[in-house]
Amino acid sequence: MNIDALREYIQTEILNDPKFVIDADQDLLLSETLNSLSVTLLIAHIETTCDVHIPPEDVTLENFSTLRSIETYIGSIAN
Amino acid sequence: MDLDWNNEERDLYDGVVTFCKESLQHDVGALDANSEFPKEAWQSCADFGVLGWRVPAELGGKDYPASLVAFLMEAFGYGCEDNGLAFALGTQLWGVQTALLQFGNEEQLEKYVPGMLRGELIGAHAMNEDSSGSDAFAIETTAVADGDDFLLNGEKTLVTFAPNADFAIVFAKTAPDAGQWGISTFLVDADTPGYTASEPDEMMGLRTAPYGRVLLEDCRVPSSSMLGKTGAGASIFGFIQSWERSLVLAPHVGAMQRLLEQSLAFARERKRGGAPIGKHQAIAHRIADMKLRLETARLLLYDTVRKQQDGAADMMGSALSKIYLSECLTQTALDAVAIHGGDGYLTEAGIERNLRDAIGATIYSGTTDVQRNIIARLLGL
Repeated sequence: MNIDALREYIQTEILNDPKFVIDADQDLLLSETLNSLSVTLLIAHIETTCDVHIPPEDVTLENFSTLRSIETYIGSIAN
Repeated sequence: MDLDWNNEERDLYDGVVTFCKESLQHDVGALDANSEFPKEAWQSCADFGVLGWRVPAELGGKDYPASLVAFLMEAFGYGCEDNGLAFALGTQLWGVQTALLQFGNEEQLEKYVPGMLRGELIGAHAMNEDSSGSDAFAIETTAVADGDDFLLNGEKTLVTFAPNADFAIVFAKTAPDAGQWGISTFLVDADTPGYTASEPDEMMGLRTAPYGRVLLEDCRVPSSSMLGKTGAGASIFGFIQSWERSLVLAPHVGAMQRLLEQSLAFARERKRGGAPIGKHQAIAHRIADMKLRLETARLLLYDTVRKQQDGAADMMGSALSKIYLSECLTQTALDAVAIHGGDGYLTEAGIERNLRDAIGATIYSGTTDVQRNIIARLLGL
């Protein structure tokens, strides 16, 4: 799952705002663009779409703070 | 209703009911009146194997699937009139063991799990604070790195087993500026200097399950006591909550069955105006509604549990289940009091205690109001 696909899901399914601007390196967590419920929905979507399992202990600032870090993390567990 | 339990599972259910009725003979009314934890009953439960139902065989447990554990806890709720004990066991199985078994390393598992199975160690789940509550991640307890150790400072409130726990799972901020993403989780032994537990808080119900506060003052713990990764505390908490919300109310189904049977027997036996009170429509309809709540609550519980154990994070199901089971038991307990009339109101029969005990479930593990917020958000509101 790449940055564009992640962005589209967050814009349309979580934020209900397809025009919401999200840069690849923009913080999503500390800015509270995504709250804990949103993150849970995002993880469920990634697990279903990419057929991967994301352990709860991997859901950290390091792995989920930006679209780019999420893309990198997905790549690391998919390999 | 057939939920596809096989004969072996039904035998286990019957065995739990028999164990409760024959081996748990403590005076629940007296312990409730004194807010006293039934230590001997807890040990009996450990000896019977309750605390090992979820634990993998290599650690000495039975490794039962979650749905079977829920079924057996339903049996416990039916056979045991001590709702506080059932709740206390649930917090160990879902609140403490879930955290250890999912996130504990080999050393942590060896240190705590065998002792829990034997009934020698009791754990507490210490998240809540005066500053947080329904805003769970607004905690103020800090964990500051100091060499190879962490220094913990803060106060945890409404902690089940705080007064007599041997260790606590403590959530604290290792990066205070990072909000919920700066929370980490620690296993803290109760005999660590700087760890102080309060006396039991006085409560409306569930009085045999001790609640209290944990004060942490420069409580020094080694970095090896961290459970999971740095900054993963919120995710760990969320994972635990998803299990606890889905499963901790399983004994409620058994309690509803017990209250239904008690009320039915009373309605057949007690006569007014020359006829059993059950012949009066007001009583009969209350009992019909008790049956309706019991069966629908059971369906929702096992539907949610089976999705949860299949790996689907069923946020909607666990929120629906948490609301429905807690509100069903509350209404059923209220109806049981009404059906029993004066006998229901007096403490001697123990009927009113079920009502006091039921209220707690609308509050702990996320209030019913919070669960409705979750459902509304999941529906896109």
